[in-house]
Amino acid sequence: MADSTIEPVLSVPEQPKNQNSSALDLGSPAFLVERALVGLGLSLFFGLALGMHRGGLSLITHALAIPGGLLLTTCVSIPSLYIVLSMLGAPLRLGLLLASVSTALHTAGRVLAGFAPIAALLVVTIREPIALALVAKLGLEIAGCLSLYRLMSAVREANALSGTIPGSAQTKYGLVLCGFVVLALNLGQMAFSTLLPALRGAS
Amino acid sequence: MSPALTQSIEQLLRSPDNVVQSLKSKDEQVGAYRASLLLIVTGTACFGAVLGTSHGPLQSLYSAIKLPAAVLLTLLLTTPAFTAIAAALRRPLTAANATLLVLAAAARGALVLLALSPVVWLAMRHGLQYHRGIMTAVLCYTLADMYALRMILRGVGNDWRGRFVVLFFAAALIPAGAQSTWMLRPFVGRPSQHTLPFLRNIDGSFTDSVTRSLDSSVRFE
Repeated sequence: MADSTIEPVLSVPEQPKNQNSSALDLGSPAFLVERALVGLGLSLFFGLALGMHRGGLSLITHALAIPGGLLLTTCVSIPSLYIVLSMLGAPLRLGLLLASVSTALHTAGRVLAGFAPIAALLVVTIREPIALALVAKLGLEIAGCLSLYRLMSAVREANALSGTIPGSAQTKYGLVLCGFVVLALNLGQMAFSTLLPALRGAS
Repeated sequence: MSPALTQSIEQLLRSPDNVVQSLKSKDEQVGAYRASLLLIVTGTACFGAVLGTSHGPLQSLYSAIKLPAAVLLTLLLTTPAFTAIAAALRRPLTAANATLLVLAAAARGALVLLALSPVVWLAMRHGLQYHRGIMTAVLCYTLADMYALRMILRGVGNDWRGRFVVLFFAAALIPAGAQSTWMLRPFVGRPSQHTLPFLRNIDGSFTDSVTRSLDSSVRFE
Protein backbone atom coordinates (compact mmCIF):
# COMPACT_ATOMS: atom_id res chain seq x y z
CA MET A 1 0.00 0.00 0.00
CA ALA A 2 1.33 3.44 -0.81
CA ASP A 3 2.64 5.59 2.02
CA SER A 4 0.36 8.41 0.98
CA THR A 5 -2.62 6.22 1.87
CA ILE A 6 -1.41 5.03 5.25
CA GLU A 7 0.31 8.05 6.68
CA PRO A 8 -2.64 10.45 7.01
CA VAL A 9 -4.58 7.84 9.00
CA LEU A 10 -1.73 6.80 11.24
CA SER A 11 0.14 10.03 11.88
CA VAL A 12 -0.76 11.96 15.01
CA PRO A 13 -2.02 15.26 13.62
CA GLU A 14 -0.52 18.30 15.31
CA GLN A 15 -2.92 20.81 16.78
CA PRO A 16 -3.60 23.40 14.12
CA LYS A 17 -2.25 26.84 15.04
CA ASN A 18 -3.90 30.05 14.00
CA GLN A 19 -1.48 32.96 13.59
CA ASN A 20 -4.18 35.57 14.18
CA SER A 21 -5.38 34.26 17.50
CA SER A 22 -3.72 32.51 20.39
CA ALA A 23 -1.09 29.83 19.80
CA LEU A 24 -3.36 27.55 21.81
CA ASP A 25 -6.17 27.49 19.29
CA LEU A 26 -7.31 23.96 18.51
CA GLY A 27 -9.03 22.09 15.78
CA SER A 28 -12.79 21.88 15.62
CA PRO A 29 -14.58 19.61 18.11
CA ALA A 30 -15.31 17.25 15.22
CA PHE A 31 -11.59 17.02 14.47
CA LEU A 32 -10.80 16.20 18.11
CA VAL A 33 -13.53 13.56 18.31
CA GLU A 34 -12.41 12.04 15.02
CA ARG A 35 -8.80 11.81 16.20
CA ALA A 36 -9.84 10.17 19.48
CA LEU A 37 -12.14 7.75 17.65
CA VAL A 38 -9.36 6.75 15.24
CA GLY A 39 -7.20 5.99 18.30
CA LEU A 40 -9.93 3.92 19.93
CA GLY A 41 -10.58 2.15 16.64
CA LEU A 42 -6.89 1.29 16.21
CA SER A 43 -6.75 -0.10 19.75
CA LEU A 44 -9.38 -2.71 18.74
CA PHE A 45 -6.64 -4.53 16.82
CA PHE A 46 -4.65 -5.18 19.98
CA GLY A 47 -7.78 -6.59 21.63
CA LEU A 48 -8.47 -8.79 18.61
CA ALA A 49 -4.88 -10.09 18.78
CA LEU A 50 -5.31 -10.97 22.47
CA GLY A 51 -8.62 -12.66 21.70
CA MET A 52 -6.85 -15.02 19.29
CA HIS A 53 -5.56 -16.96 22.30
CA ARG A 54 -8.98 -18.59 22.69
CA GLY A 55 -10.76 -17.45 19.55
CA GLY A 56 -14.53 -17.32 19.14
CA LEU A 57 -16.38 -14.94 21.43
CA SER A 58 -13.12 -14.07 23.14
CA LEU A 59 -12.13 -12.11 20.02
CA ILE A 60 -15.05 -9.76 20.52
CA THR A 61 -14.79 -9.42 24.32
CA HIS A 62 -11.08 -8.63 24.15
CA ALA A 63 -11.50 -6.31 21.17
CA LEU A 64 -14.16 -4.28 22.97
CA ALA A 65 -12.39 -4.31 26.33
CA ILE A 66 -9.33 -2.41 25.08
CA PRO A 67 -11.06 0.76 23.80
CA GLY A 68 -13.53 0.41 26.71
CA GLY A 69 -10.68 0.43 29.21
CA LEU A 70 -9.02 3.41 27.53
CA LEU A 71 -12.27 5.34 27.52
CA LEU A 72 -13.08 4.44 31.12
CA THR A 73 -9.62 5.47 32.37
CA THR A 74 -9.85 8.75 30.45
CA CYS A 75 -13.37 9.59 31.64
CA VAL A 76 -12.52 8.90 35.27
CA SER A 77 -9.11 10.57 35.46
CA ILE A 78 -9.25 13.64 33.21
CA PRO A 79 -11.93 15.59 35.15
CA SER A 80 -9.78 15.31 38.31
CA LEU A 81 -6.80 16.76 36.47
CA TYR A 82 -8.82 19.64 35.09
CA ILE A 83 -10.43 20.44 38.44
CA VAL A 84 -7.17 20.36 40.43
CA LEU A 85 -5.24 22.41 37.86
CA SER A 86 -8.06 24.96 37.59
CA MET A 87 -8.28 25.31 41.37
CA LEU A 88 -4.53 25.95 41.47
CA GLY A 89 -5.00 28.67 38.86
CA ALA A 90 -3.28 26.94 35.94
CA PRO A 91 -3.95 28.76 32.65
CA LEU A 92 -5.23 25.58 31.02
CA ARG A 93 -8.40 25.86 28.97
CA LEU A 94 -10.84 22.99 28.74
CA GLY A 95 -10.59 22.94 24.95
CA LEU A 96 -6.85 22.52 25.10
CA LEU A 97 -7.10 19.74 27.66
CA LEU A 98 -9.60 17.93 25.43
CA ALA A 99 -7.25 18.33 22.45
CA SER A 100 -4.42 16.86 24.52
CA VAL A 101 -6.64 13.97 25.57
CA SER A 102 -7.58 13.32 21.96
CA THR A 103 -3.86 13.23 21.00
CA ALA A 104 -3.14 10.88 23.91
CA LEU A 105 -5.96 8.50 22.88
CA HIS A 106 -4.72 8.55 19.30
CA THR A 107 -1.19 7.75 20.49
CA ALA A 108 -2.38 4.90 22.73
CA GLY A 109 -4.42 3.41 19.88
CA ARG A 110 -1.61 3.65 17.40
CA VAL A 111 0.95 2.07 19.72
CA LEU A 112 -1.47 -0.73 20.61
CA ALA A 113 -2.18 -1.35 16.93
CA GLY A 114 1.58 -1.45 16.34
CA PHE A 115 1.94 -4.12 19.02
CA ALA A 116 -1.00 -6.17 17.70
CA PRO A 117 1.01 -8.38 15.28
CA ILE A 118 3.57 -9.22 17.99
CA ALA A 119 0.79 -9.91 20.51
CA ALA A 120 -0.95 -12.19 18.00
CA LEU A 121 2.24 -14.20 17.42
CA LEU A 122 2.93 -14.59 21.13
CA VAL A 123 -0.57 -15.45 22.33
CA VAL A 124 -1.20 -17.91 19.50
CA THR A 125 2.09 -19.78 19.86
CA ILE A 126 2.42 -19.78 23.67
CA ARG A 127 -0.45 -21.73 25.19
CA GLU A 128 0.11 -20.87 28.87
CA PRO A 129 -2.50 -18.34 30.12
CA ILE A 130 0.26 -16.39 31.92
CA ALA A 131 1.74 -15.48 28.52
CA LEU A 132 -1.54 -13.87 27.51
CA ALA A 133 -1.60 -11.77 30.69
CA LEU A 134 2.06 -10.77 30.26
CA VAL A 135 1.59 -9.76 26.62
CA ALA A 136 -1.53 -7.75 27.52
CA LYS A 137 0.29 -6.01 30.37
CA LEU A 138 3.38 -5.24 28.30
CA GLY A 139 1.38 -3.70 25.45
CA LEU A 140 -0.93 -1.73 27.72
CA GLU A 141 1.87 -0.42 29.92
CA ILE A 142 3.98 0.78 26.99
CA ALA A 143 0.95 2.37 25.31
CA GLY A 144 -0.11 3.91 28.65
CA CYS A 145 3.33 5.43 29.28
CA LEU A 146 3.59 6.85 25.77
CA SER A 147 0.10 8.31 25.73
CA LEU A 148 0.60 9.85 29.17
CA TYR A 149 3.86 11.34 27.90
CA ARG A 150 1.96 12.93 24.97
CA LEU A 151 -0.75 14.21 27.32
CA MET A 152 1.72 15.65 29.82
CA SER A 153 3.85 17.36 27.20
CA ALA A 154 0.77 18.90 25.60
CA VAL A 155 -0.49 20.17 28.96
CA ARG A 156 2.93 21.56 29.89
CA GLU A 157 3.28 23.31 26.53
CA ALA A 158 -0.15 24.80 26.98
CA ASN A 159 0.73 26.13 30.41
CA ALA A 160 4.02 27.54 29.14
CA LEU A 161 2.36 29.22 26.15
CA SER A 162 -0.33 30.79 28.29
CA GLY A 163 2.02 33.40 29.69
CA THR A 164 4.74 33.70 32.29
CA ILE A 165 4.16 31.33 35.13
CA PRO A 166 6.08 31.95 38.36
CA GLY A 167 8.53 29.25 39.44
CA SER A 168 6.53 28.25 42.52
CA ALA A 169 3.40 27.72 40.40
CA GLN A 170 5.37 25.63 37.91
CA THR A 171 6.52 23.37 40.74
CA LYS A 172 2.92 23.02 41.93
CA TYR A 173 1.67 22.12 38.44
CA GLY A 174 4.56 19.70 38.01
CA LEU A 175 3.63 17.93 41.23
CA VAL A 176 -0.02 17.75 40.16
CA LEU A 177 0.99 16.26 36.81
CA CYS A 178 3.21 13.67 38.54
CA GLY A 179 0.34 12.75 40.84
CA PHE A 180 -1.95 12.49 37.83
CA VAL A 181 0.41 10.07 36.10
CA VAL A 182 0.37 7.79 39.15
CA LEU A 183 -3.42 8.07 39.40
CA ALA A 184 -3.99 7.40 35.70
CA LEU A 185 -1.68 4.36 35.68
CA ASN A 186 -3.46 2.88 38.70
CA LEU A 187 -6.90 3.63 37.30
CA GLY A 188 -5.88 2.10 33.99
CA GLN A 189 -4.67 -1.03 35.73
CA MET A 190 -7.97 -1.28 37.63
CA ALA A 191 -10.08 -0.63 34.54
CA PHE A 192 -8.28 -3.20 32.43
CA SER A 193 -8.19 -5.85 35.13
CA THR A 194 -11.96 -5.45 35.38
CA LEU A 195 -12.78 -5.31 31.68
CA LEU A 196 -10.13 -7.44 30.02
CA PRO A 197 -10.66 -11.20 30.37
CA ALA A 198 -6.92 -11.77 29.76
CA LEU A 199 -6.12 -9.92 32.98
CA ARG A 200 -9.03 -11.39 34.93
CA GLY A 201 -7.60 -14.85 34.37
CA ALA A 202 -10.82 -15.85 32.61
CA SER A 203 -8.98 -17.19 29.61
CA MET B 1 28.15 -7.51 -7.41
CA SER B 2 27.20 -3.99 -8.51
CA PRO B 3 29.35 -1.06 -7.30
CA ALA B 4 26.29 0.54 -5.63
CA LEU B 5 25.66 -2.62 -3.64
CA THR B 6 29.31 -2.87 -2.63
CA GLN B 7 29.22 0.74 -1.52
CA SER B 8 26.08 0.16 0.56
CA ILE B 9 27.69 -2.83 2.28
CA GLU B 10 30.88 -0.88 2.88
CA GLN B 11 28.89 1.97 4.42
CA LEU B 12 26.92 -0.37 6.68
CA LEU B 13 30.21 -1.76 7.97
CA ARG B 14 32.23 1.40 8.31
CA SER B 15 29.93 4.37 8.68
CA PRO B 16 26.44 3.62 9.95
CA ASP B 17 25.88 7.37 10.44
CA ASN B 18 26.21 7.91 6.68
CA VAL B 19 23.76 5.08 6.08
CA VAL B 20 21.23 6.75 8.38
CA GLN B 21 21.66 10.01 6.48
CA SER B 22 21.41 8.34 3.09
CA LEU B 23 18.12 6.65 4.04
CA LYS B 24 16.46 10.07 3.86
CA SER B 25 17.36 10.49 0.20
CA LYS B 26 14.85 8.85 -2.13
CA ASP B 27 17.53 8.02 -4.71
CA GLU B 28 19.52 5.90 -2.31
CA GLN B 29 16.55 4.14 -0.71
CA VAL B 30 16.19 1.42 -3.35
CA GLY B 31 19.90 0.56 -3.12
CA ALA B 32 19.68 0.50 0.67
CA TYR B 33 16.62 -1.83 0.56
CA ARG B 34 18.44 -4.26 -1.73
CA ALA B 35 21.72 -4.19 0.17
CA SER B 36 19.98 -4.62 3.53
CA LEU B 37 17.83 -7.53 2.38
CA LEU B 38 20.80 -9.23 0.75
CA LEU B 39 22.90 -8.85 3.88
CA ILE B 40 20.12 -10.07 6.17
CA VAL B 41 19.56 -13.18 4.08
CA THR B 42 23.29 -13.90 3.56
CA GLY B 43 24.41 -13.21 7.13
CA THR B 44 21.66 -15.14 8.86
CA ALA B 45 21.74 -18.00 6.34
CA CYS B 46 25.49 -18.47 6.96
CA PHE B 47 25.01 -18.35 10.72
CA GLY B 48 22.08 -20.79 10.46
CA ALA B 49 24.15 -23.17 8.34
CA VAL B 50 26.94 -23.06 10.93
CA LEU B 51 24.51 -23.83 13.76
CA GLY B 52 23.33 -26.92 11.91
CA THR B 53 26.81 -28.32 11.21
CA SER B 54 26.84 -30.41 14.39
CA HIS B 55 23.97 -32.46 12.94
CA GLY B 56 25.08 -32.82 9.33
CA PRO B 57 24.55 -31.04 6.01
CA LEU B 58 20.75 -31.50 5.87
CA GLN B 59 20.31 -29.73 9.22
CA SER B 60 22.66 -26.99 7.96
CA LEU B 61 20.50 -26.53 4.89
CA TYR B 62 17.29 -26.39 6.96
CA SER B 63 18.79 -23.86 9.38
CA ALA B 64 20.15 -21.76 6.51
CA ILE B 65 16.60 -21.49 5.15
CA LYS B 66 14.82 -21.01 8.48
CA LEU B 67 16.99 -18.41 10.21
CA PRO B 68 16.55 -15.72 7.51
CA ALA B 69 12.82 -16.53 7.51
CA ALA B 70 12.68 -16.04 11.29
CA VAL B 71 14.50 -12.71 11.09
CA LEU B 72 12.31 -11.41 8.26
CA LEU B 73 9.17 -12.51 10.13
CA THR B 74 10.36 -10.64 13.21
CA LEU B 75 10.99 -7.49 11.18
CA LEU B 76 7.56 -7.77 9.61
CA LEU B 77 5.92 -8.04 13.02
CA THR B 78 7.90 -5.36 14.82
CA THR B 79 8.19 -2.54 12.26
CA PRO B 80 4.62 -1.26 12.89
CA ALA B 81 5.37 -1.10 16.63
CA PHE B 82 8.61 0.78 15.92
CA THR B 83 6.83 3.35 13.74
CA ALA B 84 4.15 3.88 16.39
CA ILE B 85 6.63 4.20 19.26
CA ALA B 86 8.79 6.67 17.30
CA ALA B 87 5.74 8.80 16.44
CA ALA B 88 4.51 8.75 20.05
CA LEU B 89 7.87 10.02 21.25
CA ARG B 90 7.91 12.71 18.54
CA ARG B 91 10.37 11.08 16.24
CA PRO B 92 7.97 10.81 13.31
CA LEU B 93 9.22 8.57 10.53
CA THR B 94 7.27 7.66 7.44
CA ALA B 95 6.45 3.98 7.08
CA ALA B 96 9.10 3.75 4.33
CA ASN B 97 11.83 5.40 6.42
CA ALA B 98 11.00 3.32 9.49
CA THR B 99 11.12 0.13 7.44
CA LEU B 100 14.43 1.13 5.89
CA LEU B 101 15.97 2.02 9.22
CA VAL B 102 14.87 -1.29 10.75
CA LEU B 103 16.12 -3.20 7.69
CA ALA B 104 19.49 -1.42 7.72
CA ALA B 105 19.85 -2.09 11.46
CA ALA B 106 18.98 -5.75 10.94
CA ALA B 107 21.54 -5.90 8.14
CA ARG B 108 24.20 -4.61 10.52
CA GLY B 109 23.11 -7.24 13.03
CA ALA B 110 23.33 -9.89 10.30
CA LEU B 111 26.90 -8.76 9.55
CA VAL B 112 27.76 -9.37 13.21
CA LEU B 113 26.31 -12.89 12.92
CA LEU B 114 28.29 -13.42 9.73
CA ALA B 115 31.48 -12.34 11.54
CA LEU B 116 30.72 -14.70 14.43
CA SER B 117 29.97 -17.67 12.16
CA PRO B 118 33.57 -18.98 11.88
CA VAL B 119 34.04 -18.74 15.65
CA VAL B 120 30.84 -20.71 16.29
CA TRP B 121 31.76 -23.18 13.55
CA LEU B 122 35.15 -23.80 15.21
CA ALA B 123 33.45 -24.31 18.55
CA MET B 124 31.01 -26.79 16.96
CA ARG B 125 33.91 -28.64 15.33
CA HIS B 126 35.57 -28.94 18.74
CA GLY B 127 32.50 -30.73 20.08
CA LEU B 128 30.43 -27.95 21.63
CA GLN B 129 27.54 -29.92 23.11
CA TYR B 130 23.88 -29.29 22.28
CA HIS B 131 22.79 -27.11 25.20
CA ARG B 132 25.96 -25.03 25.12
CA GLY B 133 25.46 -24.64 21.39
CA ILE B 134 22.02 -23.15 22.04
CA MET B 135 23.41 -20.79 24.68
CA THR B 136 26.16 -19.71 22.24
CA ALA B 137 23.53 -19.02 19.59
CA VAL B 138 21.49 -16.95 22.07
CA LEU B 139 24.61 -14.94 23.02
CA CYS B 140 25.36 -14.29 19.34
CA TYR B 141 21.79 -13.13 18.68
CA THR B 142 22.02 -10.82 21.71
CA LEU B 143 25.25 -9.28 20.45
CA ALA B 144 23.79 -8.84 16.95
CA ASP B 145 20.65 -7.26 18.44
CA MET B 146 22.76 -4.81 20.41
CA TYR B 147 24.52 -3.65 17.24
CA ALA B 148 21.21 -3.37 15.42
CA LEU B 149 19.64 -1.36 18.23
CA ARG B 150 22.65 0.98 18.33
CA MET B 151 22.09 1.73 14.67
CA ILE B 152 18.42 2.44 15.31
CA LEU B 153 19.47 4.80 18.10
CA ARG B 154 21.59 6.69 15.57
CA GLY B 155 18.59 6.85 13.26
CA VAL B 156 16.14 8.21 15.81
CA GLY B 157 18.65 10.53 17.54
CA ASN B 158 20.84 9.75 20.52
CA ASP B 159 18.99 11.83 23.12
CA TRP B 160 16.62 10.74 25.89
CA ARG B 161 13.67 10.42 23.49
CA GLY B 162 15.71 8.33 21.08
CA ARG B 163 16.85 6.10 23.96
CA PHE B 164 13.26 5.57 25.05
CA VAL B 165 12.26 4.72 21.46
CA VAL B 166 14.99 2.07 21.42
CA LEU B 167 14.08 0.81 24.91
CA PHE B 168 10.40 0.36 24.07
CA PHE B 169 11.26 -1.11 20.68
CA ALA B 170 13.59 -3.60 22.36
CA ALA B 171 10.69 -4.59 24.63
CA ALA B 172 8.75 -5.48 21.47
CA LEU B 173 11.64 -6.90 19.44
CA ILE B 174 13.10 -9.31 21.98
CA PRO B 175 9.99 -11.41 22.71
CA ALA B 176 8.87 -11.32 19.06
CA GLY B 177 12.32 -12.28 17.74
CA ALA B 178 12.82 -14.96 20.36
CA GLN B 179 9.42 -16.53 19.76
CA SER B 180 9.58 -16.48 15.96
CA THR B 181 13.06 -18.05 16.03
CA TRP B 182 11.88 -20.62 18.56
CA MET B 183 8.82 -21.47 16.44
CA LEU B 184 11.05 -22.37 13.48
CA ARG B 185 13.45 -24.53 15.51
CA PRO B 186 15.42 -26.85 15.41
CA PHE B 187 18.48 -24.95 14.26
CA VAL B 188 21.10 -27.01 16.07
CA GLY B 189 19.43 -30.42 16.14
CA ARG B 190 19.29 -32.69 19.19
CA PRO B 191 22.12 -35.26 19.23
CA SER B 192 19.68 -37.98 20.34
CA GLN B 193 17.37 -37.32 17.38
CA HIS B 194 18.00 -39.59 14.39
CA THR B 195 15.39 -38.13 12.05
CA LEU B 196 15.67 -34.50 11.05
CA PRO B 197 12.36 -32.62 11.17
CA PHE B 198 12.16 -29.36 9.23
CA LEU B 199 10.05 -27.94 12.07
CA ARG B 200 9.43 -29.23 15.57
CA ASN B 201 6.03 -29.23 17.32
CA ILE B 202 5.18 -26.12 19.30
CA ASP B 203 5.38 -27.01 22.99
CA GLY B 204 6.39 -24.61 25.75
CA SER B 205 8.05 -21.35 24.77
CA PHE B 206 11.42 -19.78 24.02
CA THR B 207 12.00 -18.85 27.67
CA ASP B 208 11.32 -22.45 28.79
CA SER B 209 13.82 -23.65 26.23
CA VAL B 210 16.56 -21.19 27.27
CA THR B 211 15.98 -21.94 30.96
CA ARG B 212 16.29 -25.68 30.23
CA SER B 213 19.47 -25.18 28.18
CA LEU B 214 21.00 -22.88 30.79
CA ASP B 215 20.19 -25.41 33.49
CA SER B 216 21.64 -28.29 31.46
CA SER B 217 24.80 -26.43 30.44
CA VAL B 218 25.49 -25.57 34.10
CA ARG B 219 24.72 -29.10 35.36
CA PHE B 220 27.10 -30.70 32.86
CA GLU B 221 29.90 -28.38 34.02
